[in-house]
Amino acid sequence: MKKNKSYKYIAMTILLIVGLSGCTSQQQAEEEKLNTITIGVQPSTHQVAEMIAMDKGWWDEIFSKYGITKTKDKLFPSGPPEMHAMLGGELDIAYVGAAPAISAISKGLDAKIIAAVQISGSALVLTPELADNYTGPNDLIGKKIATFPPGSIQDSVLKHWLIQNNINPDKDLRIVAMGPGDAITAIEAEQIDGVFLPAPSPSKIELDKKGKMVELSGAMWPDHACCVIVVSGKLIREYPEIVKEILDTHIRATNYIYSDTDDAKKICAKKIKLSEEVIDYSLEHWDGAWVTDPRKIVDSVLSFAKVQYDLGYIEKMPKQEDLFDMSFYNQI
Amino acid sequence: MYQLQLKNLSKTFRRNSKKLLVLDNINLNVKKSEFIAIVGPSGCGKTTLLRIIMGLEHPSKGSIKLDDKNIKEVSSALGLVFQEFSLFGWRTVLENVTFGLEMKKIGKEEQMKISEKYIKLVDLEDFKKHYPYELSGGMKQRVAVARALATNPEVLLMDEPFGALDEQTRNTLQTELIKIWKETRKTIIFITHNIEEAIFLAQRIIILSKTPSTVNRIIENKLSYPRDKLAPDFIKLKCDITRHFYDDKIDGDI
Amino acid sequence: MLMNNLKKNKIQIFSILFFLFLWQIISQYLINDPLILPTVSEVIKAFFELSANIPTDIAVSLLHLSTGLFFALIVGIPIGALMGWYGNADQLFDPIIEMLRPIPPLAWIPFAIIWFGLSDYSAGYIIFIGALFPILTNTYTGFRNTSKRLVEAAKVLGCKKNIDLIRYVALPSSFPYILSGIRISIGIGWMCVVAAEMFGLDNYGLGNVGVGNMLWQYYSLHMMDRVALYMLILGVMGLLMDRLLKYAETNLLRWKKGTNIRQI
Repeated sequence: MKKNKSYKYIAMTILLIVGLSGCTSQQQAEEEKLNTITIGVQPSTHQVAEMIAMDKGWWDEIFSKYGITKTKDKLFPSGPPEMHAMLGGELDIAYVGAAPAISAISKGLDAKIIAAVQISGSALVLTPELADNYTGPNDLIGKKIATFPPGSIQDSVLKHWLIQNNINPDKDLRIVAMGPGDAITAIEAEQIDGVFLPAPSPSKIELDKKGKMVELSGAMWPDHACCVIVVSGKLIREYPEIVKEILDTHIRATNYIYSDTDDAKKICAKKIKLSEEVIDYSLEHWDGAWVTDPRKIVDSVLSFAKVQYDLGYIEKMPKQEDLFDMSFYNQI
Repeated sequence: MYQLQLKNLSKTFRRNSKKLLVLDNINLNVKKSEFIAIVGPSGCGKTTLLRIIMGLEHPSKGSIKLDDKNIKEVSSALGLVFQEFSLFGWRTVLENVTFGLEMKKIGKEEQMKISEKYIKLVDLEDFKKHYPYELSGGMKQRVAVARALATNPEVLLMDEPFGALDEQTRNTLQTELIKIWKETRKTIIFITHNIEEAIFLAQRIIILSKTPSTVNRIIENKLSYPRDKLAPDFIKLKCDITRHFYDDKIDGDI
Repeated sequence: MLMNNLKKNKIQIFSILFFLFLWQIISQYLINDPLILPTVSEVIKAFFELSANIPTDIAVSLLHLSTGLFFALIVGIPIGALMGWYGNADQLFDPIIEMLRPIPPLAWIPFAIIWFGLSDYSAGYIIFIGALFPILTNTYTGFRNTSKRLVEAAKVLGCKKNIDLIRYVALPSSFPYILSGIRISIGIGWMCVVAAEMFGLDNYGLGNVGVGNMLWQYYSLHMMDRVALYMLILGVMGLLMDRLLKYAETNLLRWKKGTNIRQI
């Protein structure tokens, strides 16, 4: 009987080991053949280029030429969970803030930034009474502000701005991490004093008369980089033609925003599930701009890396080559 | 004249729309300080009768009088010793015995005095800080007796109190009970199915028939205390009563 | 004394050590990717890096747990007692309780935030929901199982009013059940800490602390070794609390019917 027991334990241990090594990481997913492309995106006007390309079937157009039968996108509330999913091998392409991209790449994400998407475009919103008496950052001391989780652009911009104004983001106020939906609910239910979110959330809150924008992110950190396109290392190495097409499509979509703004707004409203009125208002009241050239945002992105490094979120400062792959944009 | 009077006591149980007459016109008079035993076949309603006297059940017909006053509910003039599982497991022996006194809102010091007296009476002084789980069956029953006596009831009802014990312990406790009775002079109504036990203890033996039970016979036991179970007159009385059960077609096991 | 304890528990200790050993081997040689499974040594390293914060994090989470547990006791025990003692109360409360019980604590978060704001009270509320039902159910069972014999013994000794019977008989008689319910509730309540602390919250004015809270923070930053560390802290604390309560149960309930089988 004793012998049988030992064999059982050994068998269980082997099963356990085999089972665990079956877990795939992004790296191990490389062995699988490419027939689906998944794009990560967030419900923000920042990323309307992706939404236009998806809506008009442009992604399908280019990918099907390479035998890819399915293209889909996945919505994430903010950058950190989006990057977490990409670390788990879920995404091939991601429209995401530069800061979460830095965070993920420094933790081993095999991917590179190939293009810029947009700059600035977030806003600090306070409840109406606080907003009416707002004189500057010192008014935030002792308050509760919701923003995206640590490692996101918003979290980094807010904390950097506070530190520059001699305010300790940990001790002098309470910063709570939430996605946009929860943050809007929180401020509208008066559970929180303010939010720092990307468009169009601040506008929704203003239109609902539950808050007022008091600072635009571009004023807190001039022309700061925001969203970028991150592409998996696998795509870059094995399917560079596809990556080139991704870049072309992104530029095409970005131009479309400027040329056919009304249609762009419609597509955006449909995807984010907000009214066109909110999208309209948002685009009139933000300081963001859609861009494509990654070379222009290198300095800004590296300053984000410095902020994250100072906050202890990453262990060492990345170099430009670690984060960017300019080869594709340089071909244009 | 009589301390306890049961007049035309009847009890009908209703179960699933069926009526079951358990006690049929029981009449019984008990004098102060008397020791009576009630015997009868199992299921004949002895326990029901006792519970009615105690006030835990209500009679369907008839009355109970204590000192000429009708009693309808549980009264502190009566005490009851159950067969088993009646001690509060989370209380020590001493705390079990003081329970009734606590209910009477008697002062702490007085509680201790009275309880220790009765614990001594049942010979459990060394165990007063023990918990029931540490005691043997016989010891537990002794605690039950002390507890019932502590509130100084006039009448002590006992429902087959030694039925769950081995013969040796039973014999010991029977002798102790007589001793306690002589000392306290309580009126005791003792239920048992054990004829020998009834003869050993009681001055009068009430025999109930099977359900619907009536008082079949009342036997006067004039044997003098302390009684000897092996003495000829004891054995003769036992034979008489036992034969009565065979002859009078009482039926059922005793 | 320590050697004695070690000797007695040698199978348990061996089990833990073997688990750690297996984990290290698998993570280091088979998987070799700190994202999928950080190694034991990486987690230990994280422990030393964060050791200054950990006691505060544990204390704050325990405070959240205590808040939730406290309210679970003052709500659960009376309702369970009433339902166990009075048939009408049972019929009155039972359908509502059976309807609320399957709702997982996580689902209460939206309302918790609206009712209590983003505060330690909303965290305490989530834990309260998790801790409530075991206590309530066990109190109910304890009261239901009160020996009729004991109730009658008390009545016969002059304890007649329902409130007194509850106090002197049902409650002490139910104590083993209630204590067992508390042990289960602490286990479940502790499991809710992660859900309860999801939004950072006030944390008694201490800033970013709390085991659950830190777990979510490090998740956002993909610092999986620290996530694993906090998961372990949750596990070890849960184990400690359970053992402590088992010890309390054994000692407080020596009087319980019959002897504990282990003692024979």
